[in-house]
Amino acid sequence: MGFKSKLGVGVMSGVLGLSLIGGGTYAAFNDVEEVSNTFAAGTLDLEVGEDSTFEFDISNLKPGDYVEKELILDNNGSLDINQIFTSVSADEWEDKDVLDLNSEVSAGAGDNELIDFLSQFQLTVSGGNGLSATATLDQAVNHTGNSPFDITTTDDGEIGLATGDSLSYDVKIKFVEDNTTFTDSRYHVQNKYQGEGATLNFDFEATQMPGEDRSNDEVGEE
Amino acid sequence: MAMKKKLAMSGIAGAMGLSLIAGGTWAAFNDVEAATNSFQAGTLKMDLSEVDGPYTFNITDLKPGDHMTRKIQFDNTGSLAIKDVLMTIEDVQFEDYVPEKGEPGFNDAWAEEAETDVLDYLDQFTVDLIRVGLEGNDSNYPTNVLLEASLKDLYLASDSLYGQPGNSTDVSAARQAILSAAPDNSRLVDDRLRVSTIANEGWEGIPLDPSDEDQVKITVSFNDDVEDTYEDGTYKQNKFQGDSADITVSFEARQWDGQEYDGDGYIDENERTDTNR
Repeated sequence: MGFKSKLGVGVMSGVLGLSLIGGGTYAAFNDVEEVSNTFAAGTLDLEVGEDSTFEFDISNLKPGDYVEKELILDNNGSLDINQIFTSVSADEWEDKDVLDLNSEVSAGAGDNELIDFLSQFQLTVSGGNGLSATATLDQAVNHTGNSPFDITTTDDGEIGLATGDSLSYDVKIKFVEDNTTFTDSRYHVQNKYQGEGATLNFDFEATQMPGEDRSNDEVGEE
Repeated sequence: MAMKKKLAMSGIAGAMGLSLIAGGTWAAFNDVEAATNSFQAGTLKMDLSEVDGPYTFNITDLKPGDHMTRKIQFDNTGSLAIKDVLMTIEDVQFEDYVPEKGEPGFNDAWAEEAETDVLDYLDQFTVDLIRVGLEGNDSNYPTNVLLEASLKDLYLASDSLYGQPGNSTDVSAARQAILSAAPDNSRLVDDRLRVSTIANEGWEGIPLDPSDEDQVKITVSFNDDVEDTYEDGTYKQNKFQGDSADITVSFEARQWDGQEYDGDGYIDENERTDTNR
């Protein structure tokens, strides 16, 4: 408090000093014009729509099973969105060997990595502005194969998702069925994934349209 | 406190530096939304268990006319319903007994023909397979899976891991014989025997909901052949004296076909038979 009021006094005396000088040089008439400029930044706001069914938590899956979900992305901001980039990461996975393949078949038969487990799931995305892409989840995580990256399918100059609009995607995730067996065994290789699970984190990054020359905007136009 | 403040300050400065760099490269504004989902595979697991005694045969000193019965119970110990269980003979290790001088049988008429092969020997046995697992409102209980089949035919007809156990003419004849020994032809799948429950609403295969175990009773009889004799009146079947066979049988539990699920959470439906979802 003490500090603040001291500052106030300092400023006051500064202003007084200035006006004394002014008063000494000029007399009377003057005119003051004011120009008011507004630079209000817009908002870039992508939201996962309320009707999306994309957030789920499913267990007790068997090969061949699949889920079909809807992803809705809304542009709730005041600025158009150029592109929406996806990135996928996976965690909370643990290796399991439920059937004890390491002793039933051979050492190492029951072992696998997270990336192997992810390769057992096929991701198919269609919709939006005409996107159609299929990739396994390991490809989605590593951005390889045909994994969807820019899901607006627009390039640098085009509006991918205009303000107030939404994009809707059908997303299918399938636990693929693979009847390959281990050599001289009835056991399917896919048995090594029994009981395993993972959490997938999808990030959707919306980018702004490129900067433009706004000199000719009407007053009040956004 | 002062230390903390300083740290926070440098944190902000760091962040500012970062945003400046980003601003230099890109046109700054972006928004990141996240969505999370998780999925977990179930387990398909079957254990064999004993019913009133062991389920393997380990019998020596057999003589024609002997018969033995075993019961095997299939328990579903996983989290997924089992569609069916396929049984097949994977392998037979045969040991032929040919008496040497001083060994039993050396002076008998059959010693001349003592060299026998695995198929001749297995042909001396007859197999009956009956599904006896008690379960809900099953009017077909117990069900005959295989009646009076030759163990030789069963082996020849098997889709063994190690290839066909005989030439293709013999194999197709044996498959025909097994087909006639099976009252219900849908018991045969890919040249293996479907020993679990079929076509019983809600109980097909080995579901977890309702809880079910299937039991199969296997009876093996050593045929008594008193027709064929040597000139001195001894039975030709004597040539199988001292022979033995080690038979490996596999039971494979299979999953139901994949389906679409639009719900969330644990898939209860996967604990039931396909017709009961």
